[in-house]
Amino acid sequence: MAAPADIRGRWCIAGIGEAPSGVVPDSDQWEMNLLAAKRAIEDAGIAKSEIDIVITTGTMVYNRPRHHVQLCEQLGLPLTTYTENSAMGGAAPTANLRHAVAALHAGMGKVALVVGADYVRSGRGRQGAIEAGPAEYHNAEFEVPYGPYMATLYALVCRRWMHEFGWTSEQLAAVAVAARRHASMHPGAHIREPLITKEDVLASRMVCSPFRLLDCSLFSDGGAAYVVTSAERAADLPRRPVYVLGVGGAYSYYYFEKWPDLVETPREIIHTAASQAFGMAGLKPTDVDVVGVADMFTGVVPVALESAGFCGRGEGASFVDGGRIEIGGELPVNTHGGNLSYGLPGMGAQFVHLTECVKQLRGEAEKRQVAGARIAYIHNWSGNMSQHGSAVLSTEV
Amino acid sequence: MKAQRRSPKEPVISALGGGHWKAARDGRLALQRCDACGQWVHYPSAVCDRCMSTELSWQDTAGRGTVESFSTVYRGFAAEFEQDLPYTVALVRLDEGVNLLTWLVGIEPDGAEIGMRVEVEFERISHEITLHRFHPAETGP
Ligand SMILES: [Zn+2]
Repeated sequence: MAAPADIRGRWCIAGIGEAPSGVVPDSDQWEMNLLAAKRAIEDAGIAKSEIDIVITTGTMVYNRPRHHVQLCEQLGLPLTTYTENSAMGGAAPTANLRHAVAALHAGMGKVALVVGADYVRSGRGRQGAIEAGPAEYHNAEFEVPYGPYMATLYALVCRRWMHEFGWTSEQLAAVAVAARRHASMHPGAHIREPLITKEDVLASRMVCSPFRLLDCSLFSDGGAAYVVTSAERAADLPRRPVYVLGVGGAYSYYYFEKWPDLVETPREIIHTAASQAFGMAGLKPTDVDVVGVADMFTGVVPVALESAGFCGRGEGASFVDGGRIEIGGELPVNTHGGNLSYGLPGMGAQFVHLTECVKQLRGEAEKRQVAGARIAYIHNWSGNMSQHGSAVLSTEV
Repeated sequence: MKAQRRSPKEPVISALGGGHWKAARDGRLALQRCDACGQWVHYPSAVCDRCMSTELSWQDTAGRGTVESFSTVYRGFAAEFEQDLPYTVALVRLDEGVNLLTWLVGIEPDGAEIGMRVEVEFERISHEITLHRFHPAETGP
């Protein structure tokens, strides 16, 4: 079995590509996936014939079990040796990076393409996308009759953390404010204006208490892709390699009702994935310069950061408050605007969280550039927080 | 039991779930329990998630529990629930140790509290479907 120290720094992200974000007219789920993949391959400057590992994430427009093979066919990759459409959903950016690294490290291929993009906003419509949650991901026998939506279930979790630690809606609003400010600096973000204040968040209408409208993210079209290969191969490629210093994963209960505890259970799952990634990297949260983390709702960001060890127990909400997670702050989070303002493209939900971190490390984040960004931490999850992936990336080994 | 009204989204009864719904029609909150180790199992399953025994049977719970968390839904996501807005979804931890997703009734919107003691009641939705809700427990002497 490979020791973590053997994996660290051996593999790197050699190229990234992003599909358009927001409401994209006259497109479909294939074009979103193909554009992301094409741009990643071109950014890597590698011949597509070198790609032998392809990991995809499917789409919410419709679920084709052989999505990966169909995508390979359309990309003109007639023969690959390790290919899957993973069910990692929102966790895919980091979980599938981990799968790609595992396959590469096991010698089952040499160049991996990882894709996550969707056309959920336009393909299903705004209402259709919202209703997809209960219809497809919640328990049809014991949850759906009570009318919970994704926002409702996450509201249950965040309210409990607020109760336990005295967190306030005003503190959580800082996450939405930061996201919008970051999106305003990204020409491709779904919602770039207006800039919002905490007062705006608190004055927006209540959706599922404690979440108000501006605590919630918005469904979009979009997504991204990246190419992973060895440090040796990347040395001959045009882009500055972004090394995978650590990856981690954790999987647990599917339904919230199964959680023994609304605070300790997610904390343990997130901590498990994050500590694997930090352990492999030989780093700790205080070493991190920039973060990409799941933010489908404001309240989950402090849960994710605190659980990963960025602050002490119960300190998550005060940690995200006061500008710390904004560009210019101590730990910029989701500098593209996150799910809250950049967009939430279905199965490609947080791929841009990862590609944005790669841009930051390569010094290509333009107006959003975090000065001296050297180490990035990314954490994503899917399926009611049941599947988690973490990654630590850096341009230095 | 309240008067019947237009139905929310009706549950899809699973192959194993019949015992729950039969009991609910009789005003009882029944869940699976493992005959081998005594573990309460929810959702209905073919095996006990503690000891993996396949011997599970339906038993009545006491129908009392504690609010773990709640969220009052103000926005109508789907037509089926429009008439119920605002409604309060809660995660209730039964005294038997199992969590249920349910509605809190007999409280104001956002009038619940974490840790509140609650008791089950039932609302008949259709001939086949009776759904559990929970209301604040009587705090008698
Ligand atoms: Zn058992």
